[in-house]
Amino acid sequence: MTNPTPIPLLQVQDLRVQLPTARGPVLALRGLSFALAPGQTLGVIGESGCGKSLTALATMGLLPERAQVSGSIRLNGHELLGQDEAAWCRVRGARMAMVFQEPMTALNPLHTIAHQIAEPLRLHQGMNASAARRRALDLLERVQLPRARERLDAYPHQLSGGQRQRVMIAMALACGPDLLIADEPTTALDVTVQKEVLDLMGQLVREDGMGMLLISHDLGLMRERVQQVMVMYGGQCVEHADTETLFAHPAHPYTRGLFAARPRLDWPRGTRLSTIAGQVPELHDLPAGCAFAGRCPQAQVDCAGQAPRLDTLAPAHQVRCPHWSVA
Amino acid sequence: MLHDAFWPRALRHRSFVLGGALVAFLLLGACLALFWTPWPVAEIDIPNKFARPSAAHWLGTDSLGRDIASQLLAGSHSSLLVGFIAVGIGLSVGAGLGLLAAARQGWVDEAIMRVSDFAFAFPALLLAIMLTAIYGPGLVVSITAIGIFNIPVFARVTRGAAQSVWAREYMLAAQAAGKGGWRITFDHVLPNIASVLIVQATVQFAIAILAEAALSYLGLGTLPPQASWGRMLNEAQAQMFQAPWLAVYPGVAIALTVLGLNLLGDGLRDLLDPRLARQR
Amino acid sequence: MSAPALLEVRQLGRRFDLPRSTPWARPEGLQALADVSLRLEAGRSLGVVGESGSGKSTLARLVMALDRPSAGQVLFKGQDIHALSAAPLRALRADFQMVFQDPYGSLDPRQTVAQIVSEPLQVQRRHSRAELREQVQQALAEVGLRSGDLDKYPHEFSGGQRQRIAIARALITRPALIVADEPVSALDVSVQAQVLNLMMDLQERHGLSYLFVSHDLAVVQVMCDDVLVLQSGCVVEQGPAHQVLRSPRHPYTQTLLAAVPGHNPLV
Repeated sequence: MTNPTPIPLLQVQDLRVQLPTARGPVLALRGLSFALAPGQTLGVIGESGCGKSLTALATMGLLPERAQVSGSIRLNGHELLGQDEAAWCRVRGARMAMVFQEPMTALNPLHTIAHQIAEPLRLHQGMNASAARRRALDLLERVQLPRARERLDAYPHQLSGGQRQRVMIAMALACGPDLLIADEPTTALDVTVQKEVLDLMGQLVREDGMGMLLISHDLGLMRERVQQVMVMYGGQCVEHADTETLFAHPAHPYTRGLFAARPRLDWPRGTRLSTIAGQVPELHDLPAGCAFAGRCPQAQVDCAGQAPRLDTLAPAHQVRCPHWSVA
Repeated sequence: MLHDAFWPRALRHRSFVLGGALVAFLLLGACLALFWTPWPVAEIDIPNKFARPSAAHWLGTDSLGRDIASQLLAGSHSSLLVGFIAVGIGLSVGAGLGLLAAARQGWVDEAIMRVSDFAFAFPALLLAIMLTAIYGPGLVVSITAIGIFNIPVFARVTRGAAQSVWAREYMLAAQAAGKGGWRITFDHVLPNIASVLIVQATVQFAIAILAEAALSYLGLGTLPPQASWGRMLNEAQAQMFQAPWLAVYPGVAIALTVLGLNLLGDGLRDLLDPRLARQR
Repeated sequence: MSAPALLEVRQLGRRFDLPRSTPWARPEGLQALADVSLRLEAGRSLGVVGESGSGKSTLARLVMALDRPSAGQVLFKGQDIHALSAAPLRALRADFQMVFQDPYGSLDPRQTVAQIVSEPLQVQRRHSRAELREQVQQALAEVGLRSGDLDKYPHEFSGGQRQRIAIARALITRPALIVADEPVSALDVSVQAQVLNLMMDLQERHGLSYLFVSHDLAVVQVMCDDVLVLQSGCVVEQGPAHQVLRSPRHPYTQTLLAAVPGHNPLV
């Protein structure tokens, strides 16, 4: 995207995921490709069913048993897909880590905080209990958990949502991974806490030179937090650009629709919001051509029949729409 | 609860099919025995006692020359009667109490749960013995004792399931609409916990059959000439050294029935799992 | 103003007893709401803004008479709803209805759309079955669903459609007030826009009033005339929406505004 480095931190090529459903197998991810340089941050934006969470799960090797994956996912040049579970376990937590949406369910309610943070340390770095505990304290202080020393032996239910999310971040960072995947990390949190947690993540990522994949449905979140943004719809990337460029000149009709649909604080009362006609189609019912054709305000005759390719508008801007406009 | 996809899935579910087959077999035998058994059940034929299986007596005869096959078929009646009635008592009274506890909460909930704790702690067997001492042995006593024992089981299960339904937002919506507690219980709680109750009922049915067999074995249940698997076991025990095979037939009958009911319950639990209702 | 406001809340308070640590310890209390007062006129919308623990959901429930207050009163059309007995309250409920946050939890999965939407009307016992069905069809048409959807189950619909069903249910008794507790928070952005537009249209068409609980300030700005900011159960700021959200005076309100993602107060 920007100057391609010799070995990208994460390189995903033509990732396809097929899931079994009651109505038969469906292609939930339809050929996703992107690359992340070391220390680069990428935001993935999309609504329900676009495949953004699946991308994260596929990268971590956490897809359900019956999912069929094809394509390539390389971490530091090493191919992840197709390796056995033991190989996955060596990479997870150590070289790449994930922060989940719901800190209450992602933390084990029966184990103390110290135990849970120490887990990856003992697993991947072979630390003994006391060394792991010391390191856990360091990590908790790094994520700015108030009263960290006392909280070491606390249980998840004794902490607030924001505090639990800090614990999750500490767990993710424990072994110093190269890649951090955050799947809607602040959706379940209050707005003021969201800001703190995201600021914290951004700071830690910069300090450690990690790459970050930040997944969200909230466009506003991306501004000033990631260097590039990828917009997903119907299991594909429909636009990929530098954050500034995307916010200033969104090109794909879906991206423009998403921006337009959000109310703004300076609008008068009663302003009707701009909407995207229709609703997200079921994955089974995706049309043959462009997935967005049925709802697109700029759809033309050839859109429904022809599946568009990803075109390059500018060095850092790709769009999957032959009729893009930055007007 | 049963949407169109039920039967195709049900017929492919191993537990359901196997359990269903066994239970169907039992029910068929019981129905058949209502108007025909190979030999009259109580007919004693001492010269022919301990006969081996033959064309005349398919499973042989017991210590009094009675046909074993006929006894097995007829014995299913007491088992089924106890099963249906005792579970029926437990379900109606127990589920009613559980629904009340979940709807009212507070001291009503506490009171019902403490009483059911007490009933739980009290062994059913002891209850059966007490009742027998007062009213004399018989099928009715067994059914009553087992039925009473079922009440706290259903009360507990119903209360738990009903409480999780009460926590849902659609319950709040029903209250916001102005519906009263009992209407809400019938309209919303019952349909949503029905599958839990059905599964529990199959489990309790199996337990009731075992309990009846135990009571009859102890001489507290059915009296002759009424056939009962439990009593067959009792009599077989006395003949253990002369005709050990006598215990096998009622034992197998009980085992297969309980197995069938448990498998059916397992199958129903999987098939009626609300996870399926959640698929969008 | 001589006419009573549609909804008036006076010094409302709600205290919860926390579980005791030992049977003989004194129960600790949680003051979920303290001294909350507000006025809502017919045809207007009041936004209630706050984070978790602010008491906004408690307020919504007290206004809907789903919970009893520890102090204060809720006056609907001049009547104290918590002082009413069961029958008059039930009759009055036709005039105020609620839309909940979770489109998946607020509809009974075992009931058809027709049963769900007709419930508030059914409780009023004024209509026959056929009339109920017809009313349901009308309500569904108003929210943009089809009459063919009457006999379907909730799991056959998407989140946005389910929220429309919930709105149809709230509309069916032609209420004067709808309490909406985070009605669009669980929906995708594009779907939120559709549902909010629908709510605005319905308000204009029927002269509805909304008590709109939300954490999303931009949504409140567009939907509401007035706004109330809650923090830990207390009102910290109250007034016309454009004023409070444009030039907030209380530090907490200012913090909330500053935290809005992508918010640039100058733009």
